[in-house]
Amino acid sequence: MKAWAICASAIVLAGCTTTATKVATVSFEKPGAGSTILLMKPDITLAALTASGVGEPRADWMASASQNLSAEAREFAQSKGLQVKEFDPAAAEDQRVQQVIKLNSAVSQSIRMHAYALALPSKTTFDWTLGDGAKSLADREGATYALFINGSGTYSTAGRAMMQIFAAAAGVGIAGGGQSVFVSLVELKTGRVMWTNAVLAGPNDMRKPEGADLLAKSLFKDAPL
Amino acid sequence: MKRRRGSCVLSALVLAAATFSVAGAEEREVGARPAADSPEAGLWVLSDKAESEAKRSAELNTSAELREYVRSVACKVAATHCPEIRVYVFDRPFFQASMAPNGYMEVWSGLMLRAESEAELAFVLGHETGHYVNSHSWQSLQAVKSRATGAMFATVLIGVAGAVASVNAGSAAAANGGSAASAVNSINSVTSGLINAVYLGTVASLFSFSREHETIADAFGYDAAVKAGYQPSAGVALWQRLIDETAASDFPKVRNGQARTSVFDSHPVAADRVAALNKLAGDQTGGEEGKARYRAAIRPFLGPWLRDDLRRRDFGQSLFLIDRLGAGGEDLGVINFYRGEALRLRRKDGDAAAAEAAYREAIRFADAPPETWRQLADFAERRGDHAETARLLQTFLDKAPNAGDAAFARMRLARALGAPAPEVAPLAAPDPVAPPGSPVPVAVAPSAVSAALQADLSMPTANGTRP
Repeated sequence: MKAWAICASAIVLAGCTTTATKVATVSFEKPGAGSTILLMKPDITLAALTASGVGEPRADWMASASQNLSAEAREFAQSKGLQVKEFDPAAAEDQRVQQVIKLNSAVSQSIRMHAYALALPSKTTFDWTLGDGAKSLADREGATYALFINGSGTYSTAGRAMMQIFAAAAGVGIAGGGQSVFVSLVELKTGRVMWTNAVLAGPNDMRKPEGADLLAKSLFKDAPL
Repeated sequence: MKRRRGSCVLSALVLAAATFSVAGAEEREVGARPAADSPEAGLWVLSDKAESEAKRSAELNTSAELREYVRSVACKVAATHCPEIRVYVFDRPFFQASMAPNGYMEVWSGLMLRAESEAELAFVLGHETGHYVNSHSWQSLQAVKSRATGAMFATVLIGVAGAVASVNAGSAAAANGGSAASAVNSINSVTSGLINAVYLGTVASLFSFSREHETIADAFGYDAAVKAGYQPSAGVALWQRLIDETAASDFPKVRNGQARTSVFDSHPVAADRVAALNKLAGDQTGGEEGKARYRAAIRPFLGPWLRDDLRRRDFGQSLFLIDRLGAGGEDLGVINFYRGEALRLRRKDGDAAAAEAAYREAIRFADAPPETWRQLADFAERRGDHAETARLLQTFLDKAPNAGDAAFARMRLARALGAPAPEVAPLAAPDPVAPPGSPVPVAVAPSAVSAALQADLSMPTANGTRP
């Protein structure tokens, strides 16, 4: 946790990619070769950080980052001998499936809050679960695992960079852009969250294929696949 | 030196102000979607995401008829933009309609319940369409951006001024043998006050900008609704009623809120808007009102929406609304039931009697909900009138044999009749598919359960005995 904070501050100065992986402390089955993994379309929200600090959402960045990370995830899963099935949660029609997806975003939010941002001192286990209702997604889509990728952040505009220099000269520190990605792997049979990783992208620009490629190395670190 | 800094701050703000007064530029072309690489497209993508979330919301009203009705009215006012607009009705008890930049519109049940005619709904939907057609969200973001830039420069400049002043003050105070620290503190607090003033200025202009947008949207909504053949005075009537309802609030803060011109009002003072719309409508008459059609569309939801409205715990406003809804002499069973509910929950002096009178009034009409008889039974039971209690509970059970609290009502009924309580039907037990050889589960006799329940729940009657 401390390392995270140190690196978070280090990013501002030098720029590095940090990861914070967590593996479930409860049992789960590692996928055998040929199992199917449901690759959820990465949900990425990116904005341009304008001079004053107002974010201006950018559709083109969101689309390319989502595409790049999706390609990286597919490549990674395939390298582990898994069958990949892509799935767009926004297009899900089935009520049960929609509920599982909603539940996953709620659980992910709790994990980010209580296992990362403000870790609960009394919670030493990592046993988050969506419950066995997740099975409905498995049955419907014929997959045993699901991989969720969530990213958000901003990239500084030239104006913001100028503002940083201007403010620094005046002795006032203002922040530049930054991006984070959260990824989680769910065992659909039990609903257990097997592994999560929170990554600060640092210099790796997910809007570009090369950047996404470098980012993916950190992103899928220690994934139990 | 100081003066120059002041004027610099001022000019930054003036510059910013100049940039954002270019409101109301052009209307969108029909069917135009911003190009994927355009800055506006980002807003649309976020709105698309919000819309797909909204579709999964538990508060979304799922009635296809209601949605179709609202859509058809929206289509009349949106005219050529109709295919671009998607309306969702939410069951939320507040007066609210909003428009996302991508044409996704939300109308809340609190608004549906307060509009009294199709013409009023048309005006609101036209108003929201006005925000869409004039790309107000995009303009607002641009305005926020340029204002924020102005504020940012000003903050940095004033921050520097403060730093310089406090250093100087420190040395001056030290030279005079005074307390440097206190001088520094007081100067810093002055500077921080200035910074707040700068931010406050930004915030105020931000909201006054949105007032401008609201006025434009009002005019657009008026034009669109009148063009579609609706009554010109509908908008005025709706806003005026909203002012009157605000004045009827239980809470002084709400009542006074209307008149105060606070910089944090995100909408124009309603009185201004009424005046502007009044001017537009002039003394034009005619146009379609569509009162009966509108009431028919919302009739199935009157009960659930009024129940939601009572959750706001502003009984003054709820009773105002209930009076309005009952003014036409329609749906008096449901409306009087909820008048009774509002009075019962408010619990002021005399409310209990007034609530009972309202329930009594409600049951004169065919559309009174079954619960009305149960509520009346409560009053009779409290008076110790067993025969009346039994009669009312029996009517409740006849009308709603499957009510969630039917078993409880049956128990009360038996008690009122002086008979032993009927046995509570045991809950449907899961199929006892016990593997052969496993021990037979020990069942508790249902009669024992109901006896225990009766012992716990039966209350002393008026003369102090247990039935």
